[in-house]
Amino acid sequence: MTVGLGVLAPVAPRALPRRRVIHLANTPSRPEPTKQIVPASPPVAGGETDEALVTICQGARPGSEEERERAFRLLVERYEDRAYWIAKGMIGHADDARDVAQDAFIRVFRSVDRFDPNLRFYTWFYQIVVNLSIDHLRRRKKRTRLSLEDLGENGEGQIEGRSVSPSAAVEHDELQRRVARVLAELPEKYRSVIVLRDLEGYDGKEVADMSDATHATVRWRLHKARQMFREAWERIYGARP
Amino acid sequence: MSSCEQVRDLIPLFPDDLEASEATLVREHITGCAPCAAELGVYAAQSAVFARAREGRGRVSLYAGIQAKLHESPAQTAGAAQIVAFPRRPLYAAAAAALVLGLGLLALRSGNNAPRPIQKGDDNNVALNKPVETPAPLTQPTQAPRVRAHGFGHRNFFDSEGATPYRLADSVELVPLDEEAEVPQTPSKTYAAPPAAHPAPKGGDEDRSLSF
Repeated sequence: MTVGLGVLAPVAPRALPRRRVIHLANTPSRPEPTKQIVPASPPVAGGETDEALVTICQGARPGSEEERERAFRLLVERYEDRAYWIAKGMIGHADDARDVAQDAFIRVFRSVDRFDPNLRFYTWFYQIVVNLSIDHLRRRKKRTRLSLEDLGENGEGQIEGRSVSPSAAVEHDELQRRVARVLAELPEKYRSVIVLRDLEGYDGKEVADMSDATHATVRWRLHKARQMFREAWERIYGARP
Repeated sequence: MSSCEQVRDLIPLFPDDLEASEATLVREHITGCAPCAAELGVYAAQSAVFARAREGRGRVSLYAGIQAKLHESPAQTAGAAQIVAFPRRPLYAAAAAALVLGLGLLALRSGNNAPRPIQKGDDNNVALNKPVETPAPLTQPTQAPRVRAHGFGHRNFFDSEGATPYRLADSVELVPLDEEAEVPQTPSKTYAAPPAAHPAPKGGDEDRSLSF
């Protein structure tokens, strides 16, 4: 059976609308626009999606204990960096952040049956990390106030594979210490929005899922949090960021 | 032309967290407003600080520590695992709702709305609350008359102590014992007495008549 396709006349490529570029001539020392952050989509480096690994961990599929352990290990390897840095952003202390991230994985391991596979694993998991970080901050607030030297301490000896030169690493550590110092001034709910949105690069809807809040609430908190961060930075360091 | 106040409210979210129309509004405004452009520059610099803080991060390895923790205190971690990232606000809301409900129930129980026995005059229908007319006593009754009740109204009837409420039929008809057989049967309008207080006599017209 043949289908009449008509005459395929050559079509000129459609002209895209010209992008309007605005030069901020009056903006003093405007930095280069930051690169669009691409949030970590559920990685499938191991050939299996998060949901498949969680299903194995749940024991829903027939599989040996070794297979469950392998699936859990893959999940840990996929998310350990993000978990650590979210906890570090929330807590400000490297060792505590490591503990909190490990506890988050242990909770996943122990209560993986409660996870709904129809949801995204990483939003559920990061919600656990944020909540554990907040719990840790509250316990610490009761015990003692963290010294300023502890804030931003990066536990360099336990972090592998830094891709920057030593001098850049020193500069980077100093910047991180400053950011942590300012973040410590923010209330927890504003701090978590800055960490998830600005430091980790998740979009507003994902942050809403992780924060158990609506998108509108997260947008409002982000607005407020950025203002508060700016004010705290100016107050502490006497200059604009 | 949009106002500076309106635009400055949007600047902290510019550009990725704004709607397209809002971002356009900001872009158009700052071309002609130096103070707002400077304000935008501050937030852009702040955004660059976050980006730089994100760069150069090393890798972290947590698995060995997780395994050690899992093996060192399985009972402790198992107990702790019961608390998973439950949303906090719904729990607070549920607790508050339960508290309000409990207080409401307490108030209901302690107030005047508690259930109590039916008392004289309880009926809403005033016309039906008139005193109950008791039938005139029979002269020299040698045997308790049989009473046939017709219909079922809403009058309350009390025993001699005024404690036990009964319902009285719309009308009663005294039936002489010797004429009992001639009384027409009207089963659709008869009334059966409450079984516990006045069990119907056995035999004869047992299910439709009251005996006093």
